[in-house]
Amino acid sequence: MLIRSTLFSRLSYMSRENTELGSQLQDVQKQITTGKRLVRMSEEPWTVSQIHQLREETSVQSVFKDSANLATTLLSQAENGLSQSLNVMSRLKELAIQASNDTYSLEDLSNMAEEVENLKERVLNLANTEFNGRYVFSGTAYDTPPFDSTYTYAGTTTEVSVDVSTSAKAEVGFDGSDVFQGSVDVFAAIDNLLTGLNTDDSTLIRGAISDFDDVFDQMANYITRIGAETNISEDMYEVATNIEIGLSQRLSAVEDVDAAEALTRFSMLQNQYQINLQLTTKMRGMSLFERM
Amino acid sequence: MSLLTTLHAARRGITVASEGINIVGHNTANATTDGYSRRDMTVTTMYPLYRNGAWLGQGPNRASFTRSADSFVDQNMISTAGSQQYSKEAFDVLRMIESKLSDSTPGSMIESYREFTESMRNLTNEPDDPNLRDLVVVYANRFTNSINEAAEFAVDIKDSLRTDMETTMSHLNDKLSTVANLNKRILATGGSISAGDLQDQRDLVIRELAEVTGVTVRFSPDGQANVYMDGHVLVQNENYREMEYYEDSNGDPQIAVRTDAGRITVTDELQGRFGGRLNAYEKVDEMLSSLNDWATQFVSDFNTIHQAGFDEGGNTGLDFFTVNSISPASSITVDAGILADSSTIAVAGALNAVTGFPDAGDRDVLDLLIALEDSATYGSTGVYTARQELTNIYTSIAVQVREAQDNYDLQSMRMEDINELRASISGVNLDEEAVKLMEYQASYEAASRVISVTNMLLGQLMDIV
Repeated sequence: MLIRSTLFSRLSYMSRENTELGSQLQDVQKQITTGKRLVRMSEEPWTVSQIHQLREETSVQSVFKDSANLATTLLSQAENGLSQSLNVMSRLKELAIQASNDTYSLEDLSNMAEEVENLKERVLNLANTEFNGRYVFSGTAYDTPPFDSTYTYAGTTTEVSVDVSTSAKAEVGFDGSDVFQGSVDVFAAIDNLLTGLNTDDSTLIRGAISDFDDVFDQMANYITRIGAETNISEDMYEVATNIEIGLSQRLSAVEDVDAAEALTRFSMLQNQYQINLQLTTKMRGMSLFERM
Repeated sequence: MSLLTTLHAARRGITVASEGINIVGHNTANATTDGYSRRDMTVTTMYPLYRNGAWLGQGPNRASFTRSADSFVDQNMISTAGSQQYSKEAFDVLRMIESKLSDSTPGSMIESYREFTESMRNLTNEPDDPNLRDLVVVYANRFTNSINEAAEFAVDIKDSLRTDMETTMSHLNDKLSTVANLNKRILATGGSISAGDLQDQRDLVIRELAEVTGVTVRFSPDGQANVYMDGHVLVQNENYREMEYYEDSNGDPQIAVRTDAGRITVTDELQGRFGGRLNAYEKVDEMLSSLNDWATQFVSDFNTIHQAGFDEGGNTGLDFFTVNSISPASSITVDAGILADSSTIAVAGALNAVTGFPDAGDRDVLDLLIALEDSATYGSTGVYTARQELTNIYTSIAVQVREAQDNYDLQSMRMEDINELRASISGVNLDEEAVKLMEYQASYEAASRVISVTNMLLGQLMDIV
């Protein structure tokens, strides 16, 4: 307790208190308008590293989500291309089986050959399946069609993958030469059938039937693989989404403001500020000089 | 008995009362004056006269004017003022850096680094996509700009601190000369009322000096103030020594006391604005140095890997960033070739033997560049990743701002306490002054009445004659 207090020390005390309250009001105001509990990092320096880490992880997961999405789209195109190719293979085999019966005339065989020619074109188009300019059976050279008009493979044998988590990759671009020209070359098999049909060579035609079975297995294997890759992509998309939600909740817990609490605090500070202002103006008349 | 003696005594009463009223006027008029110390008047009785076997009272005598001040409190107030300014200045400067780094704002250093790395990860999905490549360039450019800005801001702050110190120096020396001069005048005016005014004036000047440099003061019983800087005399009675600014061999600012024998450097002991700024200067310097180390290592690591890659045209040995070794953080920039054409980003690990160009999906080098993010080789101990080391720079500034703010709050609280203590000793209480005014008024009126009565008695005596 001080022995003497002067009006001016009392007034300057009030002034300091009001300044302090004003600055606290401003901070709460900023918290409410920005929705952030931490207006400046110096308010809680120990959270800076945590916040940066959480933001970086969120960014990483968002890219994984995009990659998984892209993978699912590309894989569904690849699967679609191969499923249709399988249909074509079934039809080719059907034609070959028909032709292997000797009851067909040369004209019938020629008509069949015409259909086989068309189906060959169809397989070529399916092998050149693309999405948004990206060929799924070209390996890493996915900007060029895997097969040209001479049925020569122009892609690479390296498969393309995208990262769908920190450790998992999804293969999204396949080696077309292995898919369509692996143990059996689909185009060569079709050519054999064509030659067989045109020359009425039943040995060639029967040979083609067995080739088509192999090609069928070859493609079915890839469809299974694509299914597995699609599962990975879809699962990883879910995982990344869940991690992202978890991260955003943690980030929010660290840096976001509790609106109700902030508004209550704002009202309390505002009341205190108004009381102080009234008190300050009342002090002015508290002097003996006023009564002389 | 002598009526004339009574008349003289009453006259003295009037004189003393009017001097008292003058003091009350002086006090109330200066009640809000910064650094004012209340004046009091000491009144004694005049020595009595011995007449005709009796002692006759001669009325009051104003013995002296006193200045209500406690030299210990005043000395402390001045040194606390220096500490308060120190912490305020350090806080202000570091706070500017903090707001410049602006942790969460898009375009800040850490955010643009995150955007840059994210754009690279996005590129892994389609390494040949020109739009994704353009984005990598845009974010890389934004990132290097943010580092340049932070570094240049730090350099600007350093420059402004230097300029402030250099240009304030002559002003400070003027103040030292003023203190010495006022000491001289105070000694000459002795115990008069004006000596107190001069002391107030001088103490204000010393306080200003303390707020700038953190000088300390000792008051001697004869009213003289001796000013010291880190124990070295700056003002002693009417003599003073100048302070000087110079830059050492590293170009760092230094402050010294100039003596006949040369100069005594007192930089490390400075308080006040200069001390606070120098403290902030060192922190800014540390930040800049960390940022420079970071930029140097980052560019070297990144370029080494990038140089091994192939761009879309099949070229190799290309830099992604450029930097100069003198001021890495200020000079780091995206290579002009890459800025002009994003297809020169070398993400592929090999050329296709047939085409002579890299395959569209070849991202072997891009993967290595992204893997750099996890390489924990940064910082003095080499245990942080690039991002973590940037975070360290942020955290360190945040911690320093926090420390400076806590210190400022503490010093401000001390200053408030000491201000209140001083006000209780030296401040003007208007109620007290009003009471004194009433007392002097009553005394004046009574003495006037005594003169009037004595005068009447003298008149009656004269009538008898």
